[in-house]
Amino acid sequence: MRSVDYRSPTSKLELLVRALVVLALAVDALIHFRLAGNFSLAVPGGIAGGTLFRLQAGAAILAGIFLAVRGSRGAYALAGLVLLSAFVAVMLYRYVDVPAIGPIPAMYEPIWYFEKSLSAVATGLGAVLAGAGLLLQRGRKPQ
Amino acid sequence: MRFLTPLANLSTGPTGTSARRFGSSAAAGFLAVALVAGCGGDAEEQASPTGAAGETTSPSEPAATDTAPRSSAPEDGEAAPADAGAATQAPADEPEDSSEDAAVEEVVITISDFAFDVPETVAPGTEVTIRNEDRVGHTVTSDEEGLFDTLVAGGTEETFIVPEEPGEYSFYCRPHPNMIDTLVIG
Ligand SMILES: [Cu+2]
Repeated sequence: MRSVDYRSPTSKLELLVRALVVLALAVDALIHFRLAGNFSLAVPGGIAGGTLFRLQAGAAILAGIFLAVRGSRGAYALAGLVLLSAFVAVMLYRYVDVPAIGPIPAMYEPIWYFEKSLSAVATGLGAVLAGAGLLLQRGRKPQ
Repeated sequence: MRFLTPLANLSTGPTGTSARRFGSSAAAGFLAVALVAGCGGDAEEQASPTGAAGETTSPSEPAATDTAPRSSAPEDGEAAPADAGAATQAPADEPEDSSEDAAVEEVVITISDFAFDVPETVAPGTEVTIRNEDRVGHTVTSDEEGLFDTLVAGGTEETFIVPEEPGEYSFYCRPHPNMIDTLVIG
């Protein structure tokens, strides 16, 4: 695999993918921060729903900064995990009435609205792109 | 525009929760109305009894003569000047009216499966019960800021006073902005 090192470590394609994943993380963070306050009204139990949203938003910001400055495989993996966790959560609680699990409250919400839909699309596509970025970077030495 | 509404309410999370404490001072309530929609319920709650006080003396008169001589005495002396101050003390009679209240049919807005079920029309100034049959909390929040905004936790019920002015009042749920319906006062 070392032969790939002949390729520029930051190809234009990789930069495009990286920018899109960072954008997805930014959308993820923005929406979760915006919805956190009102979500606490709906889900006050356990770790309040709003706190979970803020944790997700904070993780997305850190992962986005890390990916933007490093672009390493580890950064792509972290970004992918953060995006995937948000995507899985929004889909799970949209369609499955999950009871409270330990400190995680029941958050079943069988509806879509604009920001929720946007968040689902952004995190879903972002997770796929993060996987693509990981593949693009597979030839690079892990740092 | 609907999706923009949560942005306006971004800062109202904690405030909205405390909106249920109706004891907060009127000054703070009105100040908050200028800043955030979330506190509108407070101001409305406090404003309506004062506004209606002048006209609501007659139903309580019979009770007053029987059991509340203290409230009938000042009525003669200060009825005219004391619209806001003394008149709002009249609720001393309220326990006597409880039998009448029970006779009146309860007006209920039911929330189940993330949808509102609203009576066709509601009389002005009625106290309406919001019954939330879902597991998560919902709010009944007027589109026009500050008219009403009541949080109802999952599996509980709350009451609020609908506006005095007849008309159609569209409202929504803050955590779930696609939950919308209209309250018809008339
Ligand atoms: Cu709701």
